[in-house]
Amino acid sequence: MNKLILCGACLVCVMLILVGCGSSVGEKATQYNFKQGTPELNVQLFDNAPPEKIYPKSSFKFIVELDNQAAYDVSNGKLSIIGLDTTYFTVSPKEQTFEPLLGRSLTSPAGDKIFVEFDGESHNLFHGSEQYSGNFILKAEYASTMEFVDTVCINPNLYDVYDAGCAVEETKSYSGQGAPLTVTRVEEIITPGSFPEIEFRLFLSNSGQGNVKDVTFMNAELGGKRIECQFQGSVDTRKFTLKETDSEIVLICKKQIMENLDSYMTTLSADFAFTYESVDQHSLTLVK
Amino acid sequence: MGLTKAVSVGAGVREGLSQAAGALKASSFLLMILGISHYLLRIFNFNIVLIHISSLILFVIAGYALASKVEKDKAAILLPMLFFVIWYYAFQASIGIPFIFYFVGICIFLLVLLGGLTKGKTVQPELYGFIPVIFLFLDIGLIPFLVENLHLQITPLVESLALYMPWWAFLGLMTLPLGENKGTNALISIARIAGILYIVSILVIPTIPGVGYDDAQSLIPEADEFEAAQARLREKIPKGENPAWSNLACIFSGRYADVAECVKERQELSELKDFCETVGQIDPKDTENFNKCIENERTKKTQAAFQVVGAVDRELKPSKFMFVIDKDFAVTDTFLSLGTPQYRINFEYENPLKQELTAEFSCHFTQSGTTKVEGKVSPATAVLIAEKRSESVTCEPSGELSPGQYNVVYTAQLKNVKTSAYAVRFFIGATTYEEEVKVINLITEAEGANFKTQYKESQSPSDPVQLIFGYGNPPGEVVISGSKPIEVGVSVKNSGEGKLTAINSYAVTMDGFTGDCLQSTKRISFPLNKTTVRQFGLASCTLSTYPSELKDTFQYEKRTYWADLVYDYVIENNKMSVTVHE
Repeated sequence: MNKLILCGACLVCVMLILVGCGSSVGEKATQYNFKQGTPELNVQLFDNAPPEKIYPKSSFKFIVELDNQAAYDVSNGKLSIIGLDTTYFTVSPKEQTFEPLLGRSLTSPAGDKIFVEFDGESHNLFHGSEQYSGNFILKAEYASTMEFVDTVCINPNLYDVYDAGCAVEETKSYSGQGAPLTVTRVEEIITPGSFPEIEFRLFLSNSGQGNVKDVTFMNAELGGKRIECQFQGSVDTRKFTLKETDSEIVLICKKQIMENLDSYMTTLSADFAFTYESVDQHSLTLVK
Repeated sequence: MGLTKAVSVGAGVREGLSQAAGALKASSFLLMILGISHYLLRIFNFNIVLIHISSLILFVIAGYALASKVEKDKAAILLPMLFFVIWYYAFQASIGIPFIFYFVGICIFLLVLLGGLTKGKTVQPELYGFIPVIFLFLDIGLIPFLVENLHLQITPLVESLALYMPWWAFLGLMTLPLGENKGTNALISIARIAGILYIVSILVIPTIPGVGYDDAQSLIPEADEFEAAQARLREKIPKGENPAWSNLACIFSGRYADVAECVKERQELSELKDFCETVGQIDPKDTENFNKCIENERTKKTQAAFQVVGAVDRELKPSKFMFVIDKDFAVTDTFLSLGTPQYRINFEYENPLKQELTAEFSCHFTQSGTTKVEGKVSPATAVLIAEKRSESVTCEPSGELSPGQYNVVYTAQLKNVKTSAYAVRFFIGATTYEEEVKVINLITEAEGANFKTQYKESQSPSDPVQLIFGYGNPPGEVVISGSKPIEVGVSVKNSGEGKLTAINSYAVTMDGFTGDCLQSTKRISFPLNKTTVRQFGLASCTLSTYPSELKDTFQYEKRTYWADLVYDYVIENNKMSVTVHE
C-alpha cells in the first residue's frame, strides 16, 4: 500500500516538473510579435449573402465581413459596391463608411471583425433570356499605419581597423512589419570624414493584395533621437502618392554622427501612415 | 517478218498512246469548258438538280483528266473517288461511330494493299484521286456551309471564294497537259498564268481575320444542304463587282499605288448601284436620279446608323418561322380524276416571347418559275400564340390545273413580329484624363481586359431580323464620357431566309434621354422584288439631354438599354414538287 502511495506521489511530482517546464499560453501571447509578415484587412462577402442565384423582382443582402488581421488599426474606412448594372440590380447604399477596427495586438490578439450590410434588389431579365450574370467590384478604402523598428550598427570611424565592436551591414532585408505596406530592405551608408554622416535608405513596397494609394512619413528616430527623412522623387518630401508604375518607394534618412567614436548598436525606427484600397471582383447571377 | 510485225505493233501502240494522250488533253479541256458552263449555271441560279448533276459529271471528268498526270496504273485514281461516292451517296455521308472507323479502315487497307502489291506505283494515282473529291466539296458549297455551321465570319475572302471561283474550270486549266506544238503550249501556259492571276486577284483584297472555330462540329451534310447554304450565302452578300475585274480595272486605270483602296471604292460603288437599281427601283438611264441615289446612300454610310454593329447572343432563344415538307405524308402524285388535288405542308414556328402574331398564308402553282395557277390555301390566316408549334397548311388549285409537273409555292406573311436587342455601356462622367484612366482600370478589373470588344456590339437573338443599335461617341465606343455628346445609331439586318417587307415601329428604351431617333411608329415598307434588303441604317441622331447621374457618376455606371423592333416578314417555300396526272 505504502509502495503504491509512493509511486503515485512520484508520478505526480514528475508531472508537475514536466508541466512546470512549459510556458503558459499567456506567456506565448506576450512573446508573439504581431508586427511581422504582410497581413491586411480581409474584405469578403459573407456566405450566401448575396445568394448564388437571384430571382427577378426580389430583395437580397450583401453582407461584407471586415476582419483586420494587420498589426495596426484601420480608420477612415469606406466600403463601396461598384459596377452593378442598374438595369438588372440596384444596391443601396452604394457606399458606406465603417467604424475604426483595432489591429492585432496583445490586448486584441484576433483583431477586430465587423459586418457591413448593403440592400440589393433585382429587376427583370431581358426578354427571352434565361439568366444574366453581372460583375461588380467590392472596394474597401481605409487608412492605416506601419512601424519599422530594427537594431543597426553605427560605425563612425570606418578606417579604424582595431575596432572590435559591431559590423555594419550595408543591406538588410525584411519580410514585413505586420501590414501590407512593408519596408523590404534598408541600406546603410556611412560617409566618414571630419563631419561623418550616416544615411539610411528605406525601401518600401506594397506586399498586400490591394493598392497603396499614398504613404506619409510620420517620424523616424535613430537611438531615440529624431532623424530627418524625405521621400526620393516626390515633390512633397513627407508624402508619396503612388502611381501605377511605382513598385517601390525610397525614404532617405540622414544624420550627422559623432567622430572618433567606436562602433555601437542602436535602434532605428520609422513610422508611416498610408491609405489603402482593396478591389475584389464578384458576380451576381439573375435566373428566371 | 517478225521484226516487221513488232515494228507495226510498236507503231500501233504509239498511235494508241498518242490518241489516249489526245483524249486526256481533251478531257482537261472539256473539264475547263464544262467548268465554265457549270459556273455560269450557278451564277444565274439555274435549277439546283441540274447544277448537281453537272457537278457529278465534272467530278468524273476531273478524275479522267487527272489520270493524264500519272504514267502508270491510271485506274488507281478512281479508287478514292469510288470510295467517296460509295460513302457519300450509298451511305449518305454517315459519320456515325463505329461505321466511319470501319469504312475508313477498310478504305485505307485497300489503298495500302494495292500500293503494296504494285510496289508503291499506285500511291501517286491514289493521292491524285482525292483531288476531285476536294473540288467537288468546294464546288457544291463547302465554304458557305462552314460559314453557316461553324459561324465563320463572312470575310471578303470567303465572299470571293464562294461567289467568284469556278473551281472545275480552274482544275481543268491546271491539268491541261502540254503537247509538242509550241504555240499551243504557250497558249496553255498563258491560260494557266491567267488562272493563277485570277485567284490572286480575288484573294489580293481580303485578309483573313483570326477567328477561333472552337465550336466546330464534325458533320458532313448532304449535297442539298451544301447547295442550299451556298444559295443562302449568295443572297446574303451584296452583289458587288467581281474582285478580279475590279483589280484589273484599277491596274489599267493607273492606280498602281492604291490598288486596294481603288478596288474597295469600285466594290462599294457597284453595291450602291445595285441597291439603287433594285431596291430604290431607279433606272440607271435616269442618270440624274440614279447618281443622286448613289450619293445619298454613300452619305448615309458615314452616319452613326451604319457604324453600329450587332452580334447574336446565343443565350437568347430566337424566333423561327419555316415551312417544312413532311416527307412521310407529302402527296407528290395526284390524279385529276379523283377530284381537286390538295397538297399539305407544315408551318413550324418558335415564338419564345409568346407574342401574338398573325400569319397570312397563300400558295400558287408554278412551272419553270412562272405562276401557272393561283392556289387556295387553308387556313388563310393563323394566330401564332404558342411558344412552339406546327400548323398544317393545305393548298389546292383555285383554277384548272392541267396534267404535268408543278412546284407548289407556299407563302406566309407574318405581321407584327417583334425582335429585341440590348447594348451595354459604361458612363464615366466628365473626368480628367488621369481619372478616366483610373476608372477604366477599375472597369477592366470588374469586366476583364477585353470589355471594350465584348460590349461594342449590341446583342440580339438570332431572329430572322435583327435590330442593331449603339450609343456613345462614336456609337460603338463602350465608355461614355460625360463631356461628350452621345450619338445613337439604329440599323436593321435581315439574317433570315425570308424577306423583310415592312418596319412598323421601333423604340430604344432609354429613360431620361432625349433624342429624335429613339423611337418611331412610322411604317416603312419595302418592295417585294427580287433582291432582298439585307442591312440598312434606320435612324441616327445626337441625344440632346441625358440623366445627370450619368454625367456626374460615382466611379462609373454600367447601363444596359433595350430596344424593340416590330416588323412584317415573308417566308416562302417552293421546294414542293408535285406531278398532276389525268
